[in-house]
Amino acid sequence: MIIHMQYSQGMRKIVKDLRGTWPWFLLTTLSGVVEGLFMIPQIYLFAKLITGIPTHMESSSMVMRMLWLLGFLILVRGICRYVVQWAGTHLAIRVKTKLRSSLSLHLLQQGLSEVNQQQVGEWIHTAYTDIESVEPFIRFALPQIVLAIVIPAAVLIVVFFTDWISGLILFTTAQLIPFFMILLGRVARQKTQKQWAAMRRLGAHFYEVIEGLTTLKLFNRSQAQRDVVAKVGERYRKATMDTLKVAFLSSFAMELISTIGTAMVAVGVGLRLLSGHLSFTHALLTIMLAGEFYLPLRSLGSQFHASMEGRLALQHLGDILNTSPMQSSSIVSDNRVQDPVMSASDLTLLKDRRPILRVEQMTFTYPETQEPVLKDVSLSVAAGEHIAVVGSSGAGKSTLFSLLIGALRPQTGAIYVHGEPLCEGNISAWRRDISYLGQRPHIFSASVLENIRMSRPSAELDEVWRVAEQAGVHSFVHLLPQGYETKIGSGGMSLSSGQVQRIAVARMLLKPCSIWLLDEPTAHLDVESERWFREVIHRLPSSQTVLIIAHRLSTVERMDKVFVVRNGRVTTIESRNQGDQRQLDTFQVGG
Amino acid sequence: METGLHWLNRQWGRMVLSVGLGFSSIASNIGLMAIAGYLIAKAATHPSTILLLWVPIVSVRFFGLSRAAFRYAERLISHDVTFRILSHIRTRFYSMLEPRWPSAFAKWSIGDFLDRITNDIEVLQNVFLRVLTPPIVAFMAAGLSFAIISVTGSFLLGCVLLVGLTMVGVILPMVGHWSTRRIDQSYTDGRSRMYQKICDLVSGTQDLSMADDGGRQFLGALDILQERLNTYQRQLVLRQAVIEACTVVIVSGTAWAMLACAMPRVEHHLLGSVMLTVVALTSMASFEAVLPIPMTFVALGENVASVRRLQEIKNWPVQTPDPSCDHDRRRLPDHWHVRMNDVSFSYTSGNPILSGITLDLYPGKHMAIVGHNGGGKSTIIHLLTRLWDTQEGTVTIDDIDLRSLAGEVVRSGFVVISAHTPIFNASIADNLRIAKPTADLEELQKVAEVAQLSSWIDPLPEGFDTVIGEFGHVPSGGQRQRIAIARAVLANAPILLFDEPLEALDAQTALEIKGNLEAISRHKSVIWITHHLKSIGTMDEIIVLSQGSIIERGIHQELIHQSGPYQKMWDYEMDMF
Repeated sequence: MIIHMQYSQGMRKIVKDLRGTWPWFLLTTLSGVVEGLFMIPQIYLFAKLITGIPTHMESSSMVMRMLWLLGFLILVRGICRYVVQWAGTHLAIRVKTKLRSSLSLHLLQQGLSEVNQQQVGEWIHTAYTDIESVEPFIRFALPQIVLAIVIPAAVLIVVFFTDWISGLILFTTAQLIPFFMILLGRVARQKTQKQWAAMRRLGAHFYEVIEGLTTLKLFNRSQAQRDVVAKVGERYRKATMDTLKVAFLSSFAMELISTIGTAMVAVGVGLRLLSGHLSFTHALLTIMLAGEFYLPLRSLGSQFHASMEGRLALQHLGDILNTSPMQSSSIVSDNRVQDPVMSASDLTLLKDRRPILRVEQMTFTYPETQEPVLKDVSLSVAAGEHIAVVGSSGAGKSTLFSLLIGALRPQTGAIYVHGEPLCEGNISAWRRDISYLGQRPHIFSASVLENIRMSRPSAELDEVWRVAEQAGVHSFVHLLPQGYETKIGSGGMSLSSGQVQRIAVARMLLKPCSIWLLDEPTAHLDVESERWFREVIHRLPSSQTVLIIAHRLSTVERMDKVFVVRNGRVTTIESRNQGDQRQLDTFQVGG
Repeated sequence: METGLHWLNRQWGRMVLSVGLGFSSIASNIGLMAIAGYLIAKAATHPSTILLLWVPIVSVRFFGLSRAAFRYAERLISHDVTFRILSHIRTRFYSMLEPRWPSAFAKWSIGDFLDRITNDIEVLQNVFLRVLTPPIVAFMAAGLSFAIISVTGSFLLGCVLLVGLTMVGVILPMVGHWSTRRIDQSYTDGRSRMYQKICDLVSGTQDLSMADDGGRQFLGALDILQERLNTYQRQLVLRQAVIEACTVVIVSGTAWAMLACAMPRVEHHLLGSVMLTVVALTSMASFEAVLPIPMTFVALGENVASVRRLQEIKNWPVQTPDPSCDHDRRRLPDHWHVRMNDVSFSYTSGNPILSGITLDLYPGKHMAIVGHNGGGKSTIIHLLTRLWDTQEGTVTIDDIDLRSLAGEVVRSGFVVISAHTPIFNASIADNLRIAKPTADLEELQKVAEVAQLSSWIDPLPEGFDTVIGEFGHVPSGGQRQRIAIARAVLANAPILLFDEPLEALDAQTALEIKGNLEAISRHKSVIWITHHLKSIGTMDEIIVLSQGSIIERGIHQELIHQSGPYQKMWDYEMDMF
């Protein structure tokens, strides 16, 4: 029995990760096997009773004994079925829990970068629906493989004893089943992949529609969206039906094989019965067993189609978990070329100030695009430096930040943090050392307090009050119905973008770290808050390193250095250098 | 359940067909087994000629083939019908959600809605595939096998079979449903809570991954939810497993009981070996129809909970009901002269957001609203566009109260550009065409020019057909914002509401786009919400909003000499830049 299955590397890793669930898998399978095997004596007794009672072949007491034995077998099978269900559920729970926690952990370690936000809907689908769909595969389809081998084999042995010609027929017809399974399985696999993709699109689509409903409504497109929802649903139905047509066709083929097989056995048995070569008991037993012979094979077919989604999902999960975020990074170049943008003053700076962050000839290209966003970028950040990052919209500033926090990995070049290349080993330590304020900070659906504490859950309450006061959160929180306990975010009080920004700033202040990476921190803040925020930065201890993506030159003026991102290159400008000052003026427009 | 039935709408024909085919398939199976039994038993009696067996042999073949064919057709049709109904329910759910947006957002999170529209509807698949038709089929099949056994065996044997069938098909399902209904409910709630947590995790991954514990605490909370869900599932399986085991025992036990009951009749030669075989095999086949029913009803509580969750949103009142089909109110206003008279407003939470707001906006008037964060500036936009209705005071267009105009009519006059406008995973052209589905390429190019998008789009190999989010075409924050601006310009509405639209752009681009926007909005009504006073010097009216009230209004030249809050803000800004 060949099961058409190709294990990818990711799949193999998952199987390895799930080693702990083996005992449950064994228990599920074993009790299934026992239940299936006990079916044989049960049928034997039935046949014996049906044929024995009318012909008085068996004595009355013998009949009674057989009846009781039969009752006992039935009970044992009931108990086995109980164990199958019970162990199967425990198996499924363990697998799902394990997968979900590995995936969440992976997600956090990778840190979905700003630019990946577009795929939030898909990720939700993976983390919930995909993992749920693994259950039927693990729990039913996999044990069924074992059942489909053991039980027909056992039945075959018995039939060879009762009527070897029938045994031969069963054996021959059974060979057709894998053949059909492989044939139709190939077609089904392609269709399922399509259906699976359609299902993911459906989920992602709903996420988008619900997220963007206000926009759609403002453009009077929300009612027209109803038709789009209907259309997407219809497309999903068609894709699903396409798959099912093939899946059911293979069940149909199996059923035909088993029907024809049973009919051949029946006719042969009938003829041999007529000619007196076979006893009635054996004839009946053979026919009843023929049905049971095909049953596990048939359910293997239907289980496999039913769990095809789960198989694809498992593969997908494996592929995700198998990619480590830092895998292809840090190709450290040995030829330490002199940084072309490093001026002499840089070098002196490097002498007295330890570089906390250094990038060497880093190139980054988004997958499936040709043009790199950042080309041969080299830069260095010394401890305590205040640096502005400027550049026109779409120049790659946020991409640079995503690289620096390890959410994206460069194709060539390396990032050194505290002198060591950034790699999987030190990424979490590095992240613990940075505070990052993105363009769209997320407000969790939790209380204000929990939202602020998100950056440091162990923070003391009075510390939280202090940063809330500093960040200007306090002034609006005391107006909220339950103060700091008010639930905000999705499904709670909605906040203005300025209030969201203040909470994000409070979060950032709460976390002690040596470097701040701020992506336009003063966007959405009113003038007074902006002014206050600048004061915060200016009054920072000299040990605090700050990188700010800034659109307004007023932010840039008091900085030690400016990184200009343009056409994929990053140029370093020294603020104190007169010549560079003029270059900087080109950005002054409109500030 | 009864409320869920209207979802069956136009699918009755297909449902009946699927019941018919389902019964035919089961009947074929019963026929197959009965006649196979007859064939064997008859052969065992060594009849004088094999010709006597011809009819049974042909029937066995016929039933065998028809069983497979009927089952294939039945499964196709029942699945097709189910997916049609589910698609219909999804659309209905969306239609219920749409008019309640955004007020319903205060109660349910995005994750919650998403959970309902995907997972609850997915659960309902079970109702249509397994709860509705199989019991009907099972009932018919039970009748057939009872008839066969009563005729071939005896009435008593028929009754024994009927008892077995009733136990598996009626009593076990009832016990199953009754014993699990509470857990099913908790399970659904737990699932929903975990799903929402996952949504929060994915949306907030970036912030969490930067936390000093790397988000471990959040993961811990997720694990607790998962563990709670696991507990419910474990409690469920104890009952499920008992029901399953009982099913196995009752099915075989019925055959056992029938044999035991047949014994005396056989001994008195009232029942021959041929008929006994027929009876035994028929009874085995007749259980096929009832076998799946108990497990279906164990999950029924979950289905009921899901139906309830889908209906729940109906109880949330529509905050901005459209006036009942008064055709006059569907007419577009002529002048789009908008007034807010003494408007006070609070969201569902009850905190007063606006009080006593009066403003007047007519074509050609450009107005700015400035003020502190959280002053209620964006709420004014919600009220003007009828996403919410005022509680006190009136908002009128051409002296018609907004509440007597359909929401769509009101919104056709406005276009809003705010700081974070979602961009959809569709082509750039489709994203723009949300504003105007009929727009041709020339129009798209024109608005792209206004929003300074051309230099980004033109070099793309697919141009406007580039799909956002695919193949690395991930727009930056600034690019997204410019798409949103181009989209708004395309709508070409008479009233433009700008809610800090240029925040995400660098100074140079922002300045250029602002110039373009001013050029196209000269004769339109404009409200510009901003923090940067420098950009609003030429506005016809400036309103300073603080904690929901207008504390100052006038033109720039007056206000900077009034030594009020505006002057203070102006000085701050001058000081900074």
